Parts: sequence; structure tokens; C-alpha cells
Amino acid sequence: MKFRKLLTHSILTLLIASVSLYSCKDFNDVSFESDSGEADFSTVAAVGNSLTAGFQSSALFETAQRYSYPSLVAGQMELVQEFEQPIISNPGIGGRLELDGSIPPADPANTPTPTEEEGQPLNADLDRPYNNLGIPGTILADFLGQDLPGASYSDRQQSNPFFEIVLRDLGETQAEQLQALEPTFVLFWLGNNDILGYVTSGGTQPYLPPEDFQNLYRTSIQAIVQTEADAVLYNIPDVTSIPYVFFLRAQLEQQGAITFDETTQTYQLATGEDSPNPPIYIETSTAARRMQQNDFLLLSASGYFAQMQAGEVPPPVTPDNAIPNNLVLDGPTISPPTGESELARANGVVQQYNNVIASAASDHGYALVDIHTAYGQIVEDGGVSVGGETMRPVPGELFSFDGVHPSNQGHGIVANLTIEAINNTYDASLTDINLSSIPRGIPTSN
Amino acid sequence: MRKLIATIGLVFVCSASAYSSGFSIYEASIRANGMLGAFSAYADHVSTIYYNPAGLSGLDGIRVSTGATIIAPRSTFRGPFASSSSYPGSDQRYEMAEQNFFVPNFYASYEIEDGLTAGIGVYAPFGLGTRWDSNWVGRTEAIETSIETIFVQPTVGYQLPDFGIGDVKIGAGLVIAAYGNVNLSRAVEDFAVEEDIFSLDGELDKPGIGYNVGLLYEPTEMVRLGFTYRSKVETEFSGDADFGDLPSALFPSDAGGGTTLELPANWVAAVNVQATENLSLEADYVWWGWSSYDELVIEFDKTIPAFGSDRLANERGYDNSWQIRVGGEYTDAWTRGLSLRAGIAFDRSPLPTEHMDPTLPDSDRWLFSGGVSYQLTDYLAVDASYIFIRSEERINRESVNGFHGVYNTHANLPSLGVTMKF
Repeated sequence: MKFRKLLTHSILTLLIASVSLYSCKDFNDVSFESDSGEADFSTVAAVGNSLTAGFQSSALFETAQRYSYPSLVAGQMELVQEFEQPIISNPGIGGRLELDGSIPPADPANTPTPTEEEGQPLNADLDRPYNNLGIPGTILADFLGQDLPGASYSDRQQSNPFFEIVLRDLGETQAEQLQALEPTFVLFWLGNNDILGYVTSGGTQPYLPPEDFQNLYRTSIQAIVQTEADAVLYNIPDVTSIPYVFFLRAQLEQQGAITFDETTQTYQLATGEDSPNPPIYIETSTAARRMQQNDFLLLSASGYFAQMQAGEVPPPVTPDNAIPNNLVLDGPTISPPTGESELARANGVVQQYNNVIASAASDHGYALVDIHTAYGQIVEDGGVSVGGETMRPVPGELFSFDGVHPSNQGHGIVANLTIEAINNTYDASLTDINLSSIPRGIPTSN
Repeated sequence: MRKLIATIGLVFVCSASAYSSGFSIYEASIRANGMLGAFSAYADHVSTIYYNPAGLSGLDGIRVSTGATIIAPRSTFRGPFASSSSYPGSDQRYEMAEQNFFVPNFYASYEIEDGLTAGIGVYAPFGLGTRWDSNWVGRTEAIETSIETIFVQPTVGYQLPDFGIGDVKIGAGLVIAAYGNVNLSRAVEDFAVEEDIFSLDGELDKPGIGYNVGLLYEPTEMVRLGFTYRSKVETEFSGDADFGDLPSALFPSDAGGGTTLELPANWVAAVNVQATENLSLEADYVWWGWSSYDELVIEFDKTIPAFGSDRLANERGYDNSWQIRVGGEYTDAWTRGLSLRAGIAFDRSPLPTEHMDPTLPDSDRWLFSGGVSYQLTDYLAVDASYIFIRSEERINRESVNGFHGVYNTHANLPSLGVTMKF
């Protein structure tokens, strides 16, 4: 009898123990590794253009968005809330440039081509603004929804489907939605597209005059100040540090299609015959002239060269058949020497923009990410070491196939620069991202 | 590409259960479940074929027992921590898909002559599975992982002649892995394609062979000592690899793959004490030779250009581990024919933190059980038991895959069966 009682007791105890253990569930206090210092990371928001959105290879798609620099930075902050982005299923929207999956990716014949397929927004029903408010294609004036001469905000909105995808009907502008989010920490990177259009069109499209940029930027920063959030500002890279500008010329030289002649200090079309190589003419805003050391063939000229090699357009060996102005970013000439050029103008504009951004950061005590210097350094070094391999600042490595937007690893670099700036300015201790553990995410067709 | 190889290499981490030492399952009998497997010196049930083959020799007539355990594990992951570096960190909570596993067992014995009994057992000593949402944060680590095995074990037990030192029984069985299946999938994000999930589905190629031996020694009527050893069993699996929409130039669409899994050896030292006429108590120490699972190699039937090889090796680095099981049985409680059982056990995980990943969120755990049998007729008894497992919360900041976070697991295991004697 005594044992029976004992047994009954033990079984009861066991049951009670089981139930209480079950109900204690999981998650005791877990101490986090990162320290926010003086900043508050409880609600993080990012404002920007395609770079902020995580746009890659001419499209906005899920697997690239996952590794957008704001998403990577937010990840290091161990947010309590989710960092929501307007995720679009693969292959995304924009006509993604993809490799052919049936040919090895390293094969030179495997050149990226745009897909005709489209993805769908996956979380369009989120009932609050996205934390990532980056909209591909936006200019600085879009942040506050300001009209510009010849291009009202509503016109700009209507001509760009990404406004609808990101903003939906939760607020007219990025600024409105930023307010609604009540952010405690803001990443702000705008201004690239205000000069990029000029650069990628070979100087045929206008840029935002620096004095207008200054006014717009100051007003925009006021909108961030109103949120009382801490912030990180990003400046604009040198135009020659993006592959869209420097890559094609280098590639054609490497392929032996063009060559630089030391004696005449000009580029020549390599014919491979005994006769001297003919010169290459480029059209500029003033007149056609021989292509020199500071002149860049834009990535958009690759189609032109393919046609020329196929004999569909006459070679640019005479001023009459010069490479069209919109495919070339001409630089300062060496003979006769002149400082005036599209390249010099673009660099000058970028410098003035960056001065505005730098003083905005110091006026408000915001962190500044000096993308201009960092990109310049990477180009000078020839790349970045990632897990023992050097990744160069070219399409398919640190840049995606469109030559403008960073790859996953490129975003990792921007994220680490951001983390460094936050740690320095706000005395935080966020952990760096190990670039080698980020998947490449190379767009590939079936 | 190096990262790619590493990710795929991890895929074939065969693992599965979240509820037992590594991926072993020792819930091999409903009666033993009631005492949490503290059964290797118990010997008075036909499932001793699994727990200690020496126990067979005491069983007269024809004995049959069959039943099934439902294993209902629940795991969560919270994280990833910022030190996970490439994963978008957060303290979000992810729940493993709720799966319930049906684990059957069957045992039969026949007494050939006094002191010599033969029997056969069918049970599933390794297996189970984990499944996470295909879009969860750890999708490149694991989506689905499962392993199933069915073992068949013909066995004999023999009682040695009386040397005047008490009863000595011995037994031995042939352990045959007769059926097996492994299944696993995970995402490969090195290429942005619609279907970026790699999966492998393999079947057991041919039966794997091992053995078990056992010894029971009864110095007095009150005390029984048991010792049993199970050898490791080598199992070879092969099947088809599916690379989804990943570039076919690197991942051939018609590749086959396979692996060899060494299912570990173990030994048990047990002592059973008949405390009173009705109460017996048992304590078992169980040792597991998990260090044999140091590396997992996948062999493909052709070169996979993405790996530059037809072979992928992945370090697992398991440690040997142990368990302590304590159980008790009280017979004829309240009414004749009603037996009550209870048990408690501690199980040391063989999985080192640096090799931990969501394919197997294993950790040290406590197990609690209760069981009951009722003798309906002279020939038929019904057995039922319940086990609750609570794994210790495991905070991982060290794993080499860089996927750091907090794992929590618990499991409920109800079981039901019958025991017959003719």
C-alpha cells in the first residue's frame, strides 16, 4: 500500500512537472550581441532609389532584395520588428538580365540577356509603409513630391511603375510614408539619379543644377529632422567608378577590338591587318573628334559595337560615322588641352552635390557614408578580397549585370560602410558582415 | 563557388530527430517507453530482443508484442543573431513545421526448449525528420530533412547451465537494416532562379548488417545485472538529385547521388532491483559511439561542374554521448493485472555546437515518462505509455555555417500496443 501511494505520488508529480515544463515554452532572455550606442534601432527605415531598393541586373527581384544594403544593415541591428520590403518574386520586374543556365557561367559566350518574364509583388497587402522605401528611378525631388520644370511629380509617378509598387496608396510620397512609419533610424541615399541620367546618356540628358540640389537636399533633410530619428546620409560615387562608364572600353581593349596608340595618344580600331589601325571618332556636343584617353564608351554602346562588327553600321573611322554622342561620355582632351567635357562637368556636379551632403550630415550630427571615396579606393585597388578571391568592380562580380547597381557582395560592402559609419557616429557596436558568406545570387534562366 | 560547395555539402546532413540522442530512436517498445527504456536488465518482455537479447531465454511459450509510438516534436528557432553575418538578423521566431511520426514495433518469440528461445524483432532505431518553411530565413541551411529506417532482428537467447553462482543468460541477434529512406532539401542562393531548391531522395541500396549481444546475470533473486552491445550498421543510400532551376550547365538535371551512413554502436550497463514483491526499479547507463559520424560524404554518379568533383565531403564531428535512464514498475496496483510504470532520463547530445544547424536542432534533454499495462485476459495485455521530452534551450553563437540563433525543442510521444502470450 505504501508503495502504491508512492507511485501515485510520483506519477502525479511527473504529470505536473510535464505540464509546467510544457507551458514554460521557449525563449528565456537572450542577450544580444549588438549595442545600439546612442542610436535607437527599434524602427529602421530606408529612403532612396534603385540602390536602396536592392535593384540588380535591370530588375527588382526577391533574391536581390533579400541582400539589399538596408536589409543587411537592419539585420545586424537585431530588430525587434521586421524590416519589410516590397518583395517581388523572381525574375522580378524590369526585364532582368540573365545568364543562360545551360552554358557554364564563366563561358565568355554566356552574355546576360533580358528576360521577358515578370515576377509579382508578394507582400503588397502589408497594411503599413514598407521599411525599405527605396523606389527605383527616383530623383531627389521625388522624396517630397516636388514638381520640376517640364516634369511634374504626378507625371514622374505615372511613368514609373515602381512608385505604385512601393508606395501603394499609403501616402503620396516617400516623405509622407517615412513620417507615418515614425522611424527611429533612417538611411537616406538620394541624388544619384539627378546626375546619372546625364552620365548614362552621354551628356544628352540634363542634370539637376547643384544650386537646385542644395535647396532640395536641405528641404529633404528637414523632413528627416522632423521625424526626430537619427540618420545615415550617403554621398554620390565618382561617375568613372561605375562599370557602366569604364567597363566597355576596357573590355574592348582586352578583346583586342580597340587599341590605344601611344604616339598619337588616341584610340584606334584594331583591324588585325598590316595597314595602320584607323582612328576612332566620337561625336561630342560640339564636334566629332578622335577618341582620347579620357573618353569613355558607355555600356549602352556595346550594341553599337556588335552591329559594327557585324557590318550593320559603318565603322567610326571618319568624323561622319563617329560614335553617337549619347553612347560616349567624353572627357577632357589632352591635345589640344581643355578642361571642358561631359566627364569633367559630371565630376564637378558630383563634387558639389557631395559638399551639400557632407555639410547636411555635419549640421545635423548624422553619420555620413563616403561612397565616393570608398568606390574610388576599390577601383584603384582593382577589387576587394572576398574569402580569398578578389572580386573586381565589374558586372558579375561587385556589380550586377547592368553595370550600375551593386551585386549582393556590392551591397555587402555598402552595408559594412554603413555599419562603420553608424558605429563611429553613434558609438554603437554593430558587427561587420562577412562578405564571403553572402550568396552570389547570379540571375540565370532555365 | 567555395561557399556554394560548402552549402551543398551541408545539404546531405542526415539527421532528423529532435528528440533523441543524435538521430537514434530508442522508443522501441510500449512497455519500455513507460520506464524510458531503462529495460536492459528487465528481461520479462519480448521487446528484450531490442533492449537485451539475453532476456529472451527466460520467455516461455509464444510471445508476441506490437505497438506504435507517435513522436510529435516541436522545434523553434529564434534569430539569426547579428554574428550570423550574412543572414538578415532579427529575433524573430520560426516554428518548425508540425510533423507527427508513426514509429511501429513488432516482436515475437518462441521457446524451442527449456532455456533456449528464438525470436524476431522489427523496429525503427534511427530516423525522423525536420521541415522548415521553404521561405524561412535559414532556407539555405535546411528546408526538409528526413531519414527513415526499419530494422529486422532475428535473435536467440540461451540460459547457461547452473554453475552455482546464480542465473546467467546470454543472447545474440543479427541486426539487419532492411528498409531506409533519406530525403533532404535546401535552397542554393548562388543563382537567382525561380526554383532554387536542391533536393536529394535516396533509398537504402542493400540491407545493412550488424549484430547485438547481451548478458544477464542474476546473482540473487532480488538483483539482475544486464549488459548489451549493439554494433554499428553501415547503410548505403542512393537516389536522385534534383537541382530545380539551378543552371543545368553546373548542376546536371539527371544526376544521381548517394551516401553511406554509419549508424553508431552503443552499449548499455543496467541494474534491476526487485525492491518488493510488486516494485522493481532499474537504472541503465547507455553509451553511444556517435564519433563514428565524423564526416558525411555524398558521392554523385557523375561530376557536378558546380563542385568540380563527383564527391562532396562535409564535416559533422559528432562526439560520443551517453544517457542515464531510470525507471520503475509497480505490478498489480489497485487491482490484479494492472501495472504502472514511470521513468526519467537524461540524454547528452552528441552534436557539437560548431556543427549545429537547423537540420537537427539537437541538444541535451530531459525525458519523463509514465506507462500502464492491463492484463485483459491470460493471453492479452494492453500497454500504453506517454513520454514528454524537454530539450535544453540551445544558444548557438559558434556554428561554422555562420547561422546563429536560439533553438528550442520539446516533444510528446504517446504510444499504444498489445502484448500476447500463448
